[in-house]
Amino acid sequence: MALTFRKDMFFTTLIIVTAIFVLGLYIGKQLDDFRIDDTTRIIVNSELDSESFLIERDFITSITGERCDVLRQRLFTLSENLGEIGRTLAKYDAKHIFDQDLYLLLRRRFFLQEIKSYTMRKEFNNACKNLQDDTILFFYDTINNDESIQQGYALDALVKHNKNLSIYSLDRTFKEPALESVKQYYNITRSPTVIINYKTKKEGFTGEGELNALTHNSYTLTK
Amino acid sequence: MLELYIWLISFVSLYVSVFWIIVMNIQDHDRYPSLTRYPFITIAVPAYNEEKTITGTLQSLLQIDYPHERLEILILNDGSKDRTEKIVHQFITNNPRNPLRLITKKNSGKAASLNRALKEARGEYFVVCDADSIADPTILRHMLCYFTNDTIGAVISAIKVQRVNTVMEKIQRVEYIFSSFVRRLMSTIGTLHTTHGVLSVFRTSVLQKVGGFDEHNLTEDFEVAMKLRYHGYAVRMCNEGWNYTTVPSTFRSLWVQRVRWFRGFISNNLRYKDMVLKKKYGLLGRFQIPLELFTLLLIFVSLGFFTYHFFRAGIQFYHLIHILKWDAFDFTTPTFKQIFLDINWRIFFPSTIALCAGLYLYIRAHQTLQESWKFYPAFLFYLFFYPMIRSFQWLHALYLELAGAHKRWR
Repeated sequence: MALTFRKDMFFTTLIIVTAIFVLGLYIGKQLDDFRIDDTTRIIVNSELDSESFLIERDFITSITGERCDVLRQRLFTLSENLGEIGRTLAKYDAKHIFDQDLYLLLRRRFFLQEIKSYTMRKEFNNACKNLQDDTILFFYDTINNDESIQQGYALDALVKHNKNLSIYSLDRTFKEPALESVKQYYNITRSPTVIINYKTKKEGFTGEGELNALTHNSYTLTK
Repeated sequence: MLELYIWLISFVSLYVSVFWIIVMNIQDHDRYPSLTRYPFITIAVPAYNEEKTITGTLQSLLQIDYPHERLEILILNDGSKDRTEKIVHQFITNNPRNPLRLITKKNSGKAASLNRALKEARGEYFVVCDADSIADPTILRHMLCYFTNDTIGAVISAIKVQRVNTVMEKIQRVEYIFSSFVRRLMSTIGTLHTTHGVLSVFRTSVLQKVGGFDEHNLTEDFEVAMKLRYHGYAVRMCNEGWNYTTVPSTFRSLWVQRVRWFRGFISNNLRYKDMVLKKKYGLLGRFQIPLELFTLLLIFVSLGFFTYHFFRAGIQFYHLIHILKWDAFDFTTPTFKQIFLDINWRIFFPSTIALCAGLYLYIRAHQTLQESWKFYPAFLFYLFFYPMIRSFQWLHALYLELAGAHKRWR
């Protein structure tokens, strides 16, 4: 019996499979664009929120002089939103979804926004010392980062119980002049490193208990 | 790295699936000529400790729709320690007019039993039938029609699982349906290179010419098929009918069987490595065997890759639980948009198409073998967990081969 097999079937299969993969790449690219637009929109929103905060602060200061209670909640909201953006960017980064060039731009904008917010928070805390809010600056690594991931978990646990805490996260290896200045100021040489309330530096993994003890608003740890 | 690797696996899976779908649509639908004469046939039934199944096998052979005067059935008792010999003896006594003959010999393995039968065979065709198989009454007539020219050395039949009770049997049911289906496709493109023991028909002269069965081989059925192909003979699969076999019912017995099969695959591929990429062997040498070897390589690499990532994820999960405790389970339900955007579509899309193509082949395999194709839990196990078990079976087989472990059939 003659077989009806034809050698061009290999080629036909290759064309079909390649077409499916190209379609997958096209869909992936379209969604990357959507993700970038979406994340850009959120970052721009956050930048506007910062601007809005500064304008509101100046206005309230010039009119009433009393600003602490009014502005405090705005700062917490800003910090939470930034945390959410950071998590989204990290999630996309882990999946290598983004176009790398655009992704680096987004990350740069994000880190600048983090530093700006951290500075705003410091100014606020200096002006409103009676409120005793806590601030942590967290330097992490994205490669060989098991300890950084664990530190992230510990900070998640801390912020869950300490509602007066703001956390700002920065990628230690990211190339950005402003970030380099911050690193130089705190002499950051390894990850993870946390700066608690602008003065106490802890290198390597620091557990929830130790971090909690160093904050103004420490709570009783559950066993 | 993981992403690239998943991409590669998806590409290979999709390529193979699409290729088989194309082959399926050009399958050889020509009618094979009907049987015009009844050549004399020798059926060899090697048996070792088969007291539970041998009667059923012999009964099914006696019901085969073929002139009994043109048949001889040789039952080779390979030094069984149970009541096999007694049962066969009784069966022959109860069926005196039938062409049954019992040959008792010292235990020396299945291949040696088959070679003994081959020596004594008077038939033009030599049928191998395991002592736990049930033959379809019409199968022999169909299978003989496939010997259309002198280059065809053997014809095999489709196999179904006879008893499906335990989870292991249910998984193997799916596996056998799928493998029979793929063998049909391989037969279509001329790359079939296995002659299972459930029921395969050989041209006796060809079998004798190539030296019969290798008595020091763990998978003599696979070896003999490779040998036939090596000597330029084709192996075909009969598209009509099927035979039934008993499969291992426990995890342990399945493990032992598969490790033996896989060891046989490794050692026989090494023995016939000359066939790889040789034009002389057509698609078998240039497509089928390289594909199987590449798949084997992927299995080993995948095992290392996924074991590493599995343990890494496990360690991270441990830290998550250790640090966050119950808070680790404090999930917020993601929105549809989040789920949609979190998926890496570059990988997910082709992987999903590959999975769909696999499911389509699964359905067609069931339809071809006239089996219902519901998505049993066993199928899900077969699809998602069984490959992992198989990977470890392959690893075990590779280890035994590298360590030069003793080759023992039973």
